[in-house]
Amino acid sequence: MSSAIKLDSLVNSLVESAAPTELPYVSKDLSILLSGSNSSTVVDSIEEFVNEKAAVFSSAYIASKHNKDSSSSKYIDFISKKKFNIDINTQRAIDFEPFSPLVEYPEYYNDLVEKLGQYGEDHYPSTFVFTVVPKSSDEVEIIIIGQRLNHENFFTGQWKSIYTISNTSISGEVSLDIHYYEDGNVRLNFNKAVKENLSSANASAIINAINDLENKITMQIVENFNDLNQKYFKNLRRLLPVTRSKINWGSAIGNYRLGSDVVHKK
Amino acid sequence: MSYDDKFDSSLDLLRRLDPRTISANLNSVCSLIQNGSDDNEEVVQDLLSSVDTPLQVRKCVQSGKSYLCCDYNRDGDSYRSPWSNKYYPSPNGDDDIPPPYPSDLLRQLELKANDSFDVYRDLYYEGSGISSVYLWDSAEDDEPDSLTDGFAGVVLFKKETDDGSGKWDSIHVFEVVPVSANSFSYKLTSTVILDLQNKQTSSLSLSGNLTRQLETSATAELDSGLNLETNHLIQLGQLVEKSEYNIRNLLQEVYFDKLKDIMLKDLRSVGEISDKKLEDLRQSEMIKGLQSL
Repeated sequence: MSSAIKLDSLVNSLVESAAPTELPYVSKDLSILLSGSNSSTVVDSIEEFVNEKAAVFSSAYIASKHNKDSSSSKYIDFISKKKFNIDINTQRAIDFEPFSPLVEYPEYYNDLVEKLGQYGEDHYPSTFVFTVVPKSSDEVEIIIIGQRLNHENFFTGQWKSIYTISNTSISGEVSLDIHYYEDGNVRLNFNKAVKENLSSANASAIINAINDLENKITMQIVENFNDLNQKYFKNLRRLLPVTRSKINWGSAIGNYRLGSDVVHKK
Repeated sequence: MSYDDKFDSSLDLLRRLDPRTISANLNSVCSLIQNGSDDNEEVVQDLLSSVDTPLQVRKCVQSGKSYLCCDYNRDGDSYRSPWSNKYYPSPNGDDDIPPPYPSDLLRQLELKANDSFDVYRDLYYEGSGISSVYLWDSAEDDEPDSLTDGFAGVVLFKKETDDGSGKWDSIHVFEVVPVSANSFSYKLTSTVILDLQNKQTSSLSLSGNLTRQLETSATAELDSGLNLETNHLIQLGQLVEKSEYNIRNLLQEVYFDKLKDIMLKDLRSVGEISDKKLEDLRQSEMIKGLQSL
């Protein structure tokens, strides 16, 4: 029993640090390491990841705890009023069936769905998927995921925004995760909590607020990039010594020591 | 599952997980493998020696200086200091097999290499950081002539900014192989682990590692008054210097150009995509403007 718990927690800790765009590979590798004997451990752990962080299936549907059906293993697409299962290894949404939600949709719901679609076309160059989960007549949750899987060129990335619109307030979290792994493994991580007031509770006001928030965040990240480059990377290891020439190796290398007072004064 | 399946899957898994937690991830993967069966010990040992993790720092009691630790100066839980040639903590006395040391001739070169790369560290790492060089004999003779018959080694550098926002570890593993009389090939595999995040100003974190290989061959110019030892030092020094220069440029490109391009061009565009060409121009000018601040 205790070794099963230990196994679960090892698998969970590994899956937790996975790039969200690499889940099928992580699942396959872990299954091989566990010799297939504990495949349910891997599936459970990846489903937990999907529920907590949200993921895209069939390049068109989002699965997450926000749209999980409480009475089955399925996820709800409130826009098309259908329920579906997910296949982790093929990244596909399967077993669709019609579904009649009991929750009341806000009046602006259909307009919001249409405008979000247009917003995605305008600002998300690769795969763009969103869903809107109605919570009551004046509250919805919006999940937006923009992602690019380019394994041929060894990179994948995901932009994810999760918002709660309640009356005239918008709050939530925006996160960015990029993975580059040609002869190495480099990861960008960013996340930021946001909160704003809307000019009014309608689809246009919501889209405008989201666009402003996301533009500001993009600009902030660009600034942060420059900050890390100039303040931290540049002098961590110099491109060349202060002398601007490469080192004269050999027995005379000790001469640099004699001149090191000069070197440090720059 | 075979050795190859486990080893390859482990490496593939590790490069799809967060590189910031590479040490913890490596331990978890090893535990998973050991959990499977006892005869997986070989996979675990090979993973530990082939996956690069941030270098540990230890203190050499005799010299009072800090030194860097990796699989190549390790014996059990003890690590050999390049300054005193002693293992810390002292290896268990009840073991009949003494820990490995380089041959006397190679130890002389190791001392000089540590001196030279310490000067290099001073010049390139702005006077801070730690360096360590470890060499080992390729031949298994009792008294090998490694300067002539070949040897291998590792050059290590580690530096952190004072506030911990920038962390650099570089690991250069090399092999020196004779190709003909007084002519040698030098093969180098370099990995740099770079971690950047300023927690005070933003949650943006850029973290990871890149590995590249570089090779050269040279004939020792013994008639110009240089001995074989100095020839090796010059070749290795130039090779490590060149490789680190290349990787530093590559890190600049990947961390600051590639990742930013993926964000702006593949994930979310600030301007509307329909006027993309115009927007690209505006964006690149805006970025240029920010960079010149």
